[in-house]
Amino acid sequence: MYFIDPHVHMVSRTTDDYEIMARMGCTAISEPAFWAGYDRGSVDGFRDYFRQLTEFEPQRAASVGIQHYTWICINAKEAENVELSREVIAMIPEFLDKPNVLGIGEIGLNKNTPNECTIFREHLELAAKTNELILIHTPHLWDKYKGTRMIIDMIKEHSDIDPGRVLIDHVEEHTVKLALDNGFWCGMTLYPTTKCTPARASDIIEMVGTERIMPNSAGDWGPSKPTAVADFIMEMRKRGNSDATIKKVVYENPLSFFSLSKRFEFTPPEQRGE
Amino acid sequence: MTATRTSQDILEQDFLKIRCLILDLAASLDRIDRGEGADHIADHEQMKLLQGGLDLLKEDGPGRAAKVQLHFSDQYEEGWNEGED
Repeated sequence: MYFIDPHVHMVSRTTDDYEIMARMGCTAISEPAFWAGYDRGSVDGFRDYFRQLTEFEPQRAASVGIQHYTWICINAKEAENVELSREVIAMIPEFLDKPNVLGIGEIGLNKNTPNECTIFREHLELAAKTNELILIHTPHLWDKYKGTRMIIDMIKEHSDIDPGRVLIDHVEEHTVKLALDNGFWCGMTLYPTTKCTPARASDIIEMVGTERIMPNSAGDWGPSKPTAVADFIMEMRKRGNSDATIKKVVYENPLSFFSLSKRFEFTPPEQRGE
Repeated sequence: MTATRTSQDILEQDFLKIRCLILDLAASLDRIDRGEGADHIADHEQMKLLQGGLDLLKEDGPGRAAKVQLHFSDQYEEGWNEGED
């Protein structure tokens, strides 16, 4: 079965990982800008990173037949440096007309601090002004519920942002309905440790259905598994779900959300080479 | 959407996995008890949180996972952003 991984940080992964994902049926990925494991020191450091996301990674993905899309921002983990964050936000429009850019992301909160809120709101201003899609990072542990509520509160401050053009990522059992009931799309991140598992993600699908929801691996430089979406497919199959149900969440939903971006162009795998 | 399997199917298919998870939990708590200073750990905030989480497992379901998540979550204050610029 073909699938799309809507959230994976391939700059941290090897070309072997791309190839394994392709062999498992991955036909497209989207890669949000994120934290490198250390704080970058200058706006030019971010400019170079955004060039990697918009120039080099699409080529590397294409070498194994995967279509590469990306999201641009300064991650919440670096938002404590408000001055640098503002320089990066001012530079982001340089990249918004690149063909593989889907929108602004992953923005949001990490520790729910006032500076993170300031920079999140300034990203929202930019996204509203440029009518870009938004991909939201929510905190991962005890701060997830509070952070998700705060993020939704701040988005609601914007009457010019349509929740149907926003994806709230890393939802779990206690936050999935907050996202769906408020009209957002949502992502479930499958991680080998501390976060959601393929089994729990399948439970969530059983509880809330298949509309506006999709799993992702969020594979990065830490303990993570870029083939986690394939694991989810296997878990859903083991439970007796139909291929149509599984395809809806691992392929059709990401395509539907990405299609809201004015730049999104996609060649279905069965039409390649035509 | 609802579950694709009967409760009995799930129980039979997942019994060994769940047994293993309970054993992991028991062994983890034993590990804490074997450590030096175990007599003073009962009042530790994280120990109380774990105990509260365990208590939630004994409640009727469904919804235990969401309850456990909220048990380990920071409090949200409604209206936190009112009056901000």
